[in-house]
Amino acid sequence: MTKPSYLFALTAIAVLSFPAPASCEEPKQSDYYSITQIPAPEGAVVEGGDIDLLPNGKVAVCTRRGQIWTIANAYTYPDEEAKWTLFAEYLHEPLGLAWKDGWLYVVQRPEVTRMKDEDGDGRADVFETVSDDWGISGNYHEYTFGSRFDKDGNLWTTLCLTGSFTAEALYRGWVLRINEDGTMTPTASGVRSPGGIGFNAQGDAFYTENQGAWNGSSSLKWAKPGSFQGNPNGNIWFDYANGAAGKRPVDPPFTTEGSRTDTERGNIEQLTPPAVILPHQKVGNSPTGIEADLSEGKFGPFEGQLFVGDQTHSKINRVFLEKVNGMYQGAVFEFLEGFESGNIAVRLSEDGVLFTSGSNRGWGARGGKVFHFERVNWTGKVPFEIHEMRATPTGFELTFTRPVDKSTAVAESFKMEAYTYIYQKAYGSPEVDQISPKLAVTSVSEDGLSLQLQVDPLTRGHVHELHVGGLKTSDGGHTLLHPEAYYTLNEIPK
Amino acid sequence: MKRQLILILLFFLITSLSVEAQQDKIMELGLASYQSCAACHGPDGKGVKAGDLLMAPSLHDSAFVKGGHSDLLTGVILKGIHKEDNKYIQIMLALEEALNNEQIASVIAYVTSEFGEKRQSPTANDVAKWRKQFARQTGPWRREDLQEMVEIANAPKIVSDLSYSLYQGKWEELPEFATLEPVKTGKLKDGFITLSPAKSIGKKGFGMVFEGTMTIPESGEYAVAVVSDDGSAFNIDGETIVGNDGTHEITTQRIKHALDKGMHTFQILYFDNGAAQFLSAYIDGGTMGKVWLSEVKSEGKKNKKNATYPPIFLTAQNPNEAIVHRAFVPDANPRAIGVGYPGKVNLIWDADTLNLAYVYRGEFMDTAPHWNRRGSGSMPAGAEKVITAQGMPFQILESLEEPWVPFSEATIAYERDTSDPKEDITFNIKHPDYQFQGYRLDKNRFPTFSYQYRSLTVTDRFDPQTINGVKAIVRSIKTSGTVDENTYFRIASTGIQEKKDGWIDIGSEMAIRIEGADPVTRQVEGGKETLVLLETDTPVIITYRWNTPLQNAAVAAPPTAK
Repeated sequence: MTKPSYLFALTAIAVLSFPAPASCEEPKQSDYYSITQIPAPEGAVVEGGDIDLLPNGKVAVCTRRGQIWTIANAYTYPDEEAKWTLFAEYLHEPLGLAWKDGWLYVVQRPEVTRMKDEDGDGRADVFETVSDDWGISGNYHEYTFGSRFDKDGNLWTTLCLTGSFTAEALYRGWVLRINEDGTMTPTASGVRSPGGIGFNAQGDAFYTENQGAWNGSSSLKWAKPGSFQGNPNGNIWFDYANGAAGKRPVDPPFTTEGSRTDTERGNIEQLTPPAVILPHQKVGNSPTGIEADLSEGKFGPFEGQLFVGDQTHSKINRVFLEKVNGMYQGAVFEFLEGFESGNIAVRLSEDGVLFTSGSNRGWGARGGKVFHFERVNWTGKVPFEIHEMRATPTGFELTFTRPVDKSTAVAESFKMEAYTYIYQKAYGSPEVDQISPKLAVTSVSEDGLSLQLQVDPLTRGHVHELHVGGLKTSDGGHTLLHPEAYYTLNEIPK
Repeated sequence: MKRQLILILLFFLITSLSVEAQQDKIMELGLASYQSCAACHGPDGKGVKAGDLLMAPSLHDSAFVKGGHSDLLTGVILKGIHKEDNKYIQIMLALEEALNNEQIASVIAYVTSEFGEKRQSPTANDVAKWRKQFARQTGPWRREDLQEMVEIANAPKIVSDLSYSLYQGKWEELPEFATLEPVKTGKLKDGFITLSPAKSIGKKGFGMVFEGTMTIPESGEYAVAVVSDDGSAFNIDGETIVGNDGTHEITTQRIKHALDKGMHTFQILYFDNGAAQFLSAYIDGGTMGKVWLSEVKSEGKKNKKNATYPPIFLTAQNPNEAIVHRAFVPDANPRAIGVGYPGKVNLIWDADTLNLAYVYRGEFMDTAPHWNRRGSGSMPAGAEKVITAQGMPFQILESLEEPWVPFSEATIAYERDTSDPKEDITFNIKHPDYQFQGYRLDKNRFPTFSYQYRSLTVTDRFDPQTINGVKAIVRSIKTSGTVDENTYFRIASTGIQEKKDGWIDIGSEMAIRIEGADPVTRQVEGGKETLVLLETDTPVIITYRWNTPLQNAAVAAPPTAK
């Protein structure tokens, strides 16, 4: 049962707006990934904030209305009936859920709580406060997002600013680590309005940041301990952090003309640039949950990459990350779209089943439903995609999921624009400092799975937006399912 | 043939002559009717001076007189304008009783011709129609609303080639219209989306697809919004930009979207599954401002700023169970926890102060504010709220002269923006002697709160009781560990009056009784407070009893929201 797509439906009646498909066999998302809606119980409103997978085969989801549901048969529905059980309710807008050692940890606005059902009636009855070492002022925008546990037993949380602009309670605008023993470590500053926090395949923490003050575009950021993420409003709390997150960074320029992140990296030692900019309006509008593909190929060919939800565009993007000169950077590609509501939670099981849930309340979404809980399965077919986009000293190396027809791997098949954003206190930024580099394909590998793209010039700090036109697979002559890639070049490899 | 032509020419000559003659008459009547306006607006329309002020504003500057919006001008004449400041001495009165349709039409002609840019000549019939349109407006206009009406009227037309397809059926969500056969199709020449073609279907359920072209004057980021009851979606250039699907009451969904200058095709999809119907849509941004694409030019709510939602009262899954609910509530710190017990007695326990904040009776909680839109907090729904003691529960007092310290705040110089002067902010800070530990629920889901105070572990539990037919709450505070010397527990700090029967009034609605320790009531600045000295392994039991039975078990007036 896939989403009844009114987009495709419309092609029949809205001929003027929609070019007819080139051929019926043109590959589409549903050839590779199937989306299944798992309906909520009658009357329930499951505006998912986070999802975790329980060892008993159930899936747990916490909701913006403060409920925690567990779902049996979520992997097998509709072959087996999905059974929803209300484990807890009336928590305070929880946006983090993690199972560990018999406890279900939930990150809610005021605290990290761990829960247990001791009397075995299916409902939690023990609610232990693990940590409440941060402030809330009562402003609705002070969201607290939480990760699952890292290898050291820490939950990572990220705290939205008050009203998304100021820091009127302790550690608003910070990333905090909460250990299972209850100790809290102030970890990184400079957060504005996060949408989710998680880890890459190597276990480093990343969070998603929304376009706004000091953020020209939304982005995926590396929550490196001691880093400053760019918005200085929360830096007043360094007085309370006792050096745990290092020295207070110097302020970025408050001038109306602003600056550039790359320029300010030279002035502000702790400023960590966005690992991957998610160009505003191009790949999304409000990035959310982060999930690494650790399924060892069971969810398609993207092992080790990240999936990042987008609430507004009701989709999940894909991110390739690499570390260059000690700094994370990489590319974002569009991946899955057509979800029924605004994706917030994204969770992938080890055997390659992805769950997502979210809401459109207060912030609209393309998928028009108030909430959704959906499952994505890989069909086993490999879509033709750019697999990785790596920076080289002279350009980029592109790898593909399927061999390319070498005759199409020519400079004319590629177009590139590079640009950056103003780093400023004003809300957002237009794309600025545009450059159109010259491109050349200098080599194509024997197996047709990679090529070297020479880019002149490469510009540090710029998003390099690649459009691939004529490139085709050697078998079937398919074009790329998603022909755009956006690489954030924080560092040029030496 | 020739004769016919002459007749036609003659006819035109006569009618055009008579039009001219009629217009003179209109101007004459207009001038006569204007005399009541001239008293304040002046014979020259520039406003009559009275000292430094004008009696009324100049009509030469009026957006209504200039703009060619006879309908809006009629609205102003009919209903008057609310006096919001003292910029002008007089007030624009409602003239709907004073002037008939013909007089209004003529005064509009006169005013727009004499003081405006282009003469408007509405007919008495037009005015009659507008009179009907404005009938729902009961009071004078607010300037803000007038401003919005002018903006709407002045908005550029960006839509062309608008057509609709109407489908009959009942759905819970947007159907695949392409697979359905429309019962009716047509063009909408006015260029505004409207549900009126579906009138014949009434409340039997229908769907509509609107398709058209819009011209965006400049590239930029625009808000794209669709407001509907029930579901809808707004597609631009074949892509869904904002969805608003499902069966629901009037709901706005709005998304920022980059649009290039030029023509874009769009579709608006809509369905109504049988109850109330509503559809409006707009694009807002750039120099063009807000442009409504629909005939209905509102988000369906009379007063957007004070939009309220039908209450959502929380009830327990089982009647003998309590509800424990965490959300922002008025008159408590942000870590407040609400507990609604069977029998409609409720309390707010504050996990910032580790103390009971208040008790109340009636409906437990209206969570509608928290569950709608972005959600800014819940409302304790009942009444007869009694604030018990504020601040932290315990303190070591070397003597009873020592004051109770409010511990929970700190201030910091807040460098919000280095270009602005620094300002200090006050914020809640955890007291170093306390740590909240959470709560456990018993078989009836009654919570026992737990926290650390210095070396003590403290539990705080509440049980509803009925004493002589009046509801009460019995609170048990237990400590484990060795109590430090001179540790006091402040139980009450407002409205204290000791009575002979061992009860202590706390305000006019409630009395308390303390067991397990001897209460000490002391005089402090601003009133009295009741303390007990804590002793190791000795629980303190406090009974909070209302003085009278609950009068109205249903909702009484809720406490004021922030």
